[in-house]
Amino acid sequence: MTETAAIQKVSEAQSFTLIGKRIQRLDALDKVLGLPLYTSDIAPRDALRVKVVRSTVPHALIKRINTEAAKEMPGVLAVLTAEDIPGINEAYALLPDRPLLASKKVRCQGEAIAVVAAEDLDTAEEAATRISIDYERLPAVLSPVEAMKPDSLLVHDNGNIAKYLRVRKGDVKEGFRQADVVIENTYKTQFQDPAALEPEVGMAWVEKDGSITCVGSMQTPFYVQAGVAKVLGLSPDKVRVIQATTGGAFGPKSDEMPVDTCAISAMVAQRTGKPAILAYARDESMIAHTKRHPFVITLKTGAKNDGSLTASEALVVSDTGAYASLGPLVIIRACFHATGPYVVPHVKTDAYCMYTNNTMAGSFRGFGSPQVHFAAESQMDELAKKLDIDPLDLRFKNMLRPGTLTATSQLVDEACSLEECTRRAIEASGWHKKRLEFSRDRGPFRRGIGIALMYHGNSLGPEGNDYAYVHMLIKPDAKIVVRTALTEYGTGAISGLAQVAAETLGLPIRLFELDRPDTASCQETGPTVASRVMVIGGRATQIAAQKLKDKLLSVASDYLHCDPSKLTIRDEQISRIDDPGQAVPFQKIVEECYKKHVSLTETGYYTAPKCEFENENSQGTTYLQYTYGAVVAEVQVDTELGVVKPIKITAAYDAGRAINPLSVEGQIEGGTIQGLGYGLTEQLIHLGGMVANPTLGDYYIPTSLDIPEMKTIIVEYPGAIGPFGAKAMGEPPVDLPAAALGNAIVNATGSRVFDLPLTAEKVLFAMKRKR
Amino acid sequence: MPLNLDDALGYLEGNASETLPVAGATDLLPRIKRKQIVANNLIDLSGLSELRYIKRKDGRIKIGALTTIADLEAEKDSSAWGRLVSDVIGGFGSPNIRSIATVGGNICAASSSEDLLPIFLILDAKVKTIRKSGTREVPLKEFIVAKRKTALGGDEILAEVSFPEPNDRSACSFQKLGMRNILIIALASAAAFLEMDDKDSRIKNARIALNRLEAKIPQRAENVEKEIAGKELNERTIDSVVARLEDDLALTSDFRASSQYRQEAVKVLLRRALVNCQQRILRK
Amino acid sequence: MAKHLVKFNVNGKDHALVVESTERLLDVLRDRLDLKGVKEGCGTGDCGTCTVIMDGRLVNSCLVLAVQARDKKIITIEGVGARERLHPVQKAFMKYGAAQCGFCTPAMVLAGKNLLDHNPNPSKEEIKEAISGVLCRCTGYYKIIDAIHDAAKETSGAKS
Repeated sequence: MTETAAIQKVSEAQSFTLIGKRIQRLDALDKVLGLPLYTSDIAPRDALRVKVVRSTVPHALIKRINTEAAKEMPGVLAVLTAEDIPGINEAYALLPDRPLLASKKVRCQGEAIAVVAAEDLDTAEEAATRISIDYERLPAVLSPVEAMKPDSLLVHDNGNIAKYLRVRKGDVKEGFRQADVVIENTYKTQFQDPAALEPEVGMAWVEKDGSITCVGSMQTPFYVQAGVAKVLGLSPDKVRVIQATTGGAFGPKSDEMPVDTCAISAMVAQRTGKPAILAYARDESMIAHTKRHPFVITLKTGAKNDGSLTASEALVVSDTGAYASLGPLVIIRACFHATGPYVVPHVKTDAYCMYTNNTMAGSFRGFGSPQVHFAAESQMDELAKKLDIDPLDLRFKNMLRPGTLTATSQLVDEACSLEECTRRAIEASGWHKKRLEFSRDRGPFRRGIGIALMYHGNSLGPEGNDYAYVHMLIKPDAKIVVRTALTEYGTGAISGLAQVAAETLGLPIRLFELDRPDTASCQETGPTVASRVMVIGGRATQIAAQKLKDKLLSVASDYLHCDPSKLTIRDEQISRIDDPGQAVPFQKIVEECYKKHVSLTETGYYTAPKCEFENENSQGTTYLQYTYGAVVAEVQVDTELGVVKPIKITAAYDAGRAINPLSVEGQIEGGTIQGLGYGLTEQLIHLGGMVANPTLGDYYIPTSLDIPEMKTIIVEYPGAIGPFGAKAMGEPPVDLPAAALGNAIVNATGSRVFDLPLTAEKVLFAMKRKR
Repeated sequence: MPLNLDDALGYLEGNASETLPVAGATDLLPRIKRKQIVANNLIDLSGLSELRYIKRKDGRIKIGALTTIADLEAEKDSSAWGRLVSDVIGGFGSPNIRSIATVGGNICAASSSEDLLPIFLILDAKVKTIRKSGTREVPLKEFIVAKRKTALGGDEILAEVSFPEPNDRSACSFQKLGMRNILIIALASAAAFLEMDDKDSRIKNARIALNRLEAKIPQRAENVEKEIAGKELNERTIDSVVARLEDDLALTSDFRASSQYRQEAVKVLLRRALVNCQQRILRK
Repeated sequence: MAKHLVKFNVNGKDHALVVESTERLLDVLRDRLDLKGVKEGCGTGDCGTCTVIMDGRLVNSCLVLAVQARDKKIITIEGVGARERLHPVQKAFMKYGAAQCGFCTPAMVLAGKNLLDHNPNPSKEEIKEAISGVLCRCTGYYKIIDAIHDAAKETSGAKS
């Protein structure tokens, strides 16, 4: 049987041993015991402590960096600036626009300028205060709309547009002519901070052969390897990067920061010969790292009286801050999803990713989707109101279904479950009963219920080459190691890969071990982003596992004197399918393999088919499969104060195939609460380009006392490319809560807030304006 | 690390200008670490158990400065004071912070973020400070001079806060507005104390404390208080009190909220505090 | 800076250490006693990842000076359960998938343990209260609450 056919056979099995089961993660024990796993926990005792001196202004020329006083301090072993960089002073995720250490100019608050390394943290911090920068301040561009003006100040010499793209489908002029009703609104969203509980940290030391080893909190070890090598002027094979257990990431740890922490530590290590560790303080982290892009979205939507959408015209503008980071990719996803999950015959979307002198925006779970869905789903309810059509009916009328076309004219396949997700969310939430009940509320506390729908293109799509390498090896003691440079940081995704491998091999999960992602022992495998570990990594895992299985069966076939195709692996034995009594222990075959020098190391490589689409108008297949979902939110609004209390969220998501429902629920629940914060309370505020609230005391993420009741429904419409039909679930759950809450608030109060977060102040004044 | 109060005071006598007393450290320690305060000399008061008490004497409740917020939980009951404690304690910091934050620390931090200040202001509290050579008592509203500034001398420790125990013709209420339910400093807050006359028909005494004022510390709204003393406790009185507020309020604007919003919010919070007091009086 | 000798008990073991005036309990536990399960997530008492149990109460060790811990009994995650004998809260965390990135897990387990030590049969509201001083960004809290609720059945069952 060919490899692909064999995998297919496992995938289509009627019942699975492990797939779909609630499995404990492989690293769960270590975590509940509180073992030292994170970068700071495993730092060498003699590691130097590194502090970074950062810009305290949003836009300025650097006239002088005064380091003498710091250099003279006892206990200070190195003070470095850009001139000390051995290789190239660059640390950027995509566009070559960002230095590691600023030397002539700073374009935002928090840019690294100088580095101090000392024997202890107090000395390093004290020395850092003794470094002063002479600035010549420049005026600053503080909003993306400002940055678009033709006479705007420039953040970078070649203009303020980091990326522009568009969607053109049909002819919007014609579409609006056909419309009976046209509405236009502008929506705004805010900077959201990832607020991972572990701030950024990276450490490095020099090995005896002069090569560098870095260990850090990160999502993509190979990006860090490339970045560190460039800064140090070394070839990448002289830099080894290991991802330590990472305490939350959400996207920003796949951008510039891990390169910064490791490259800076590596410079210090190289300079001093000692290990060095750079751990960000929380406020430093919140100022310096990438955040979710704020967007300004103007949507003009046309529809006929019967509710059918005829045209959508959108201007989508993001603020990527002083450096682009992955802004140019975020804007692509936003551009393609800007209409929401609906059939719109005529679409015109223009999307701009703009530079400003605010701090950097970059990758963050959702990657443009939460922003455009807030706009699109708010707009749908506004349209429903204008048409005097029930918001559910309007959605059922226009939603994507198999056989329809997306905004990029991609044909929607049979795996489109949007209708089922929507129906199940409506039913489980008791929508109709609640809508009626809530409409009878009197007094200052009014309840409301709202809905939002989404679609989320899986994996990289147009963002890059979508491939993965997963290595597996069976040790002499019959333990199976899964090793890959794909990472996890709370998602449980790599445990999920082990589960896929276990199912494919027919072995119990307790035999599996995970190695730490290490550039020295893994093949470069693309970034861990875009919820692609299960979809793409899972396929590579199946391939590796199948190869191992073939080897084992081949050796067992000699042992049992029959064709490998007649054998199966079950209950830790390799046995004849037709006569299970004829069996040999799995352990024994492993020993045989070792005796016969049959290598039990295999690598699975999978690359997704390229998305074929025409670039100028973005028409074609933009993503190979989509996750669909629907969220119903119920709120209680204190109409005297504007305070919004979330009562219940009902979320139905299509996981394709939930490899581990426990993990899928975990992602849905966690993503929903992160989306709740995004919708109601979180905003990283820039005043004059300076972050006003870089503390967890002034940046409000939900606590255990802020969460609503939650009901999660997992729908499964197997997708085209994931293992066993799995679809991405890391990001989608953040896309909708803000939109659903917004619509629920309108249901409760009759007035809408058009910009996030939906704070009490905004809700109250929206109500007052209406009166 | 003083062995006892006497020891502490003796130390302070000699080292007043350089020494920073610290108790729960919830406010001070992060600021020391961020180098916002220079702390060459610290004196740790957390072990002074003689200052950790809640006593009742001569119609007054006396709370030692080292009493933790968690210790105050024992005071929750259906008395006027007990209900006020219930109002404030659930939203104060977090359970972790309540274990170590002290009453004295909250008072000395002297800012709009300190929830106990409005409470003690409406109770007409006095603070007792102590130095080697003796004690003095100062009304709380005079003790809090400005944001982060108290009348505490360098050789003194805040020893106690005390106030007349509200009688059973009184009721208190504290209303706090924040962006989430815990670990949150007040966006705005209002505290009210009402004491009824013998026949329970008119307000004998009213004290109101508002927060997020331009002064950046909670303060008594004395003009408003004068307005409602002697009136009947009904909806019309409450309406007039709230209306009176308009002229008096000078609220701060900051990145958390605008002064216009705070204006609206404080009116609502004060109304709710007064209505709550009314309900608590009627329930007796 | 002045130095002081302080004695305290950590996870059942007595220690006597010379500490500096502004040294935090967090620093002593992590750096001097190598108890890396105590985390520093913010240093300002806002996140709770530095939570330890001190004389039966949850405290943020980043807000406690080392000298203030004198004569106190401190429990960190390292003092809760062991690989072969997990505390019911730890077992439940594994069963419910309550640990994702794991950074808040030591603090959450301590909060759960401390709650059950004082209140063997807590309601879900009481559990939410007890863990409210610890932030989690990964789980949304649901599975943590369910896990502690489940663990209560085991601990209160054992008592009856």
